[in-house]
Amino acid sequence: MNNETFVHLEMHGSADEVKAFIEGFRLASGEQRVYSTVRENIKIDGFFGSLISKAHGSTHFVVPSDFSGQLGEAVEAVTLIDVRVESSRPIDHGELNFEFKCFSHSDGVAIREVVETELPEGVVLEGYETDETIDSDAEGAEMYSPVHEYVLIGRGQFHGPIEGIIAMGRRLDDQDFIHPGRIHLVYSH
Amino acid sequence: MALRQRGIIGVFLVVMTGLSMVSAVGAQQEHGSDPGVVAEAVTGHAHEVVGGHGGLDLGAVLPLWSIIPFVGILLSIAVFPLVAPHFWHKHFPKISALWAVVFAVPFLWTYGHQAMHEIMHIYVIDYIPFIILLWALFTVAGGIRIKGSLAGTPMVNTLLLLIGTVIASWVGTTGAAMLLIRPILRANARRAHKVHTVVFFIFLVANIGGSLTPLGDPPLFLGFLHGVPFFWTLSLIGPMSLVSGILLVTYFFLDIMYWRRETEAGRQIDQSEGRLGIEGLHNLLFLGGILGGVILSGTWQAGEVTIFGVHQHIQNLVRDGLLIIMGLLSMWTTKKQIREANGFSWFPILEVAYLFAGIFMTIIPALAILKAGEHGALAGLVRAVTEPWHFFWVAGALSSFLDNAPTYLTFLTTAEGMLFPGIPEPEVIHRIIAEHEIFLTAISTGAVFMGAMTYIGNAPNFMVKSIAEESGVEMPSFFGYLFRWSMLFLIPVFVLVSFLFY
Repeated sequence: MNNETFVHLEMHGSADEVKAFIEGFRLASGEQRVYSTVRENIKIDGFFGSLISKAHGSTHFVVPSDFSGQLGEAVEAVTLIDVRVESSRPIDHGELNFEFKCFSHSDGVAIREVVETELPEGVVLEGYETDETIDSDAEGAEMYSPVHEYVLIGRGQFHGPIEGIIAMGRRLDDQDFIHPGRIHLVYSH
Repeated sequence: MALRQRGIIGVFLVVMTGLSMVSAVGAQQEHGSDPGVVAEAVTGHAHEVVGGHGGLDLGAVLPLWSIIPFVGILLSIAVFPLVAPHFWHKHFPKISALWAVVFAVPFLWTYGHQAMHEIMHIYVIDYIPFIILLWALFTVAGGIRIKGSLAGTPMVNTLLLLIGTVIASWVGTTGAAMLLIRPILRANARRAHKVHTVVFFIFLVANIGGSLTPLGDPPLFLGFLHGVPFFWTLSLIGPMSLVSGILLVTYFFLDIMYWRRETEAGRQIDQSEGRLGIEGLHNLLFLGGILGGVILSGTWQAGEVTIFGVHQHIQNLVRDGLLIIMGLLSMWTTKKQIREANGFSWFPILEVAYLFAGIFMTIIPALAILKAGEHGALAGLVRAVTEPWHFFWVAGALSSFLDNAPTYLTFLTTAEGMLFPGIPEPEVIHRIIAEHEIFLTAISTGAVFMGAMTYIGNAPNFMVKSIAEESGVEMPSFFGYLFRWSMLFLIPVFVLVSFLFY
């Protein structure tokens, strides 16, 4: 990953046509880094904003700025379907909050490895807090007073290039007991 | 260990408080305190205050607020584990003892010897046999272990759930859950999608499967202790088979759907556990001994003895003795490693012992009032719950959120009070079975089936959740389980049962 600029691309038109157009253009250009905001759980306008945006016929993507530029030119030449670029906003960085709670040491080790090691280039972990509790009184199974012998809870925020944040979002999604929030886009001024 | 000591002290306090009140209250009665006068003052009606044994008909004179400790202890069990789990884990014996004392002290103070008799009656007839049975089943089932590698395919998973559903009636839902939850978790360890398997395990093995014998689920054993014949519960096979069949088929197709989403790694079998086998199989003999002991107590008439002024059948004492022997034999003959591999500890049975010591104390006024039927302070409830489907849904709904054993007993007593007020057990049970069997069926299925609705409905539910979480399965929250799983999959089946059977 490098420091290439990404943009938040808002496309107007039928969602299926927009997606088909983007997919075709992506395949033709060989660009792999086209991210759907829905699939990557990227927050756009909040709940009501998303509804309004959808009603307005908008579909959102995060793409490299070069790709966005080429796409904008190509859209101008499209005549068979009604799609257009509504807006293209440069992204400065992304933010991703997460929290976790697990009940075994092995899960704790796995979660820590996911969260703390081999972060994508430029991604930093901020406000990271963990609390590990070992309660020997709670060893074994209980029926009416279920507490766990081992509990690890934690929370934090990843901050960095949007591509790295998207990669972290996918990584956290694959891990049980970690609950990532939605990715926030912070735009360049 | 400290917790155990504190808990034992808690229960000890309850018992000692009760016993110490006997002499004090006895002395007070001798000095002219008349419980009948007290009863009249409290309720304002004197015409039904004479009970069958020449004492007060407590159900007719006890005020409604006397059931507050019963409601309190049930709500404590339901709410504390969710909102303050660590506080509850450390202090539940004291809280149980507190509710018991809150009821016992004024009850003994007001009704003296009769109150003492009621307390002794419920402990001798219900509590002690109840704990002995659960302890024996728990000990014996905890000595059997399924070892080896299993493939977590839809077919194998469904088969394990079917086996669990079938054996739950014979080893108890807690025993079946303890026996099978780890094998099924091991079989699915590599799979990404396994929450649905644990949820259906709770539905079937930890609850619905236990509906065919009094050994299966605590409510049914309480029914047995109150006179329901051992083999009567086999008549629940109709609704039980329908519910289990629908859920097993549903699970099978659901698991096929999730299986298709698994990666290659998720479908691989973990061979590290070696060949499939069963350890501690000799415990089946002890299980047979438990079964024989319970059946014996329901068929043999050996006379009575009096314990603390309470008439107890000799066959029941023989049964309890047999059960204790079976449990001890299991302890002595089972390798320690088997129990360790099962994650066996005495804590779950201690929890039951502490909490039910409080429940059985505080349930006394509720049962007495309900038994009085139209003459008791809960006459409104007795009048409102009149049809079999009412009993199915109300007993079931309450069993979803409160423990299903006391709920079953409460509604069994409601039915007794409604259908045959004033007739003592077990005659009233025999008449209900002969003339209004559908009511008993509705109460039994409602209490057992709907114990699966929430984590707090039946004792093994939380245990399964806890073991699954510690094995890396991210289980749904309390409301996640309720709204995303049990309401979606169980309620439609229960509606069908209600239409077809009640």
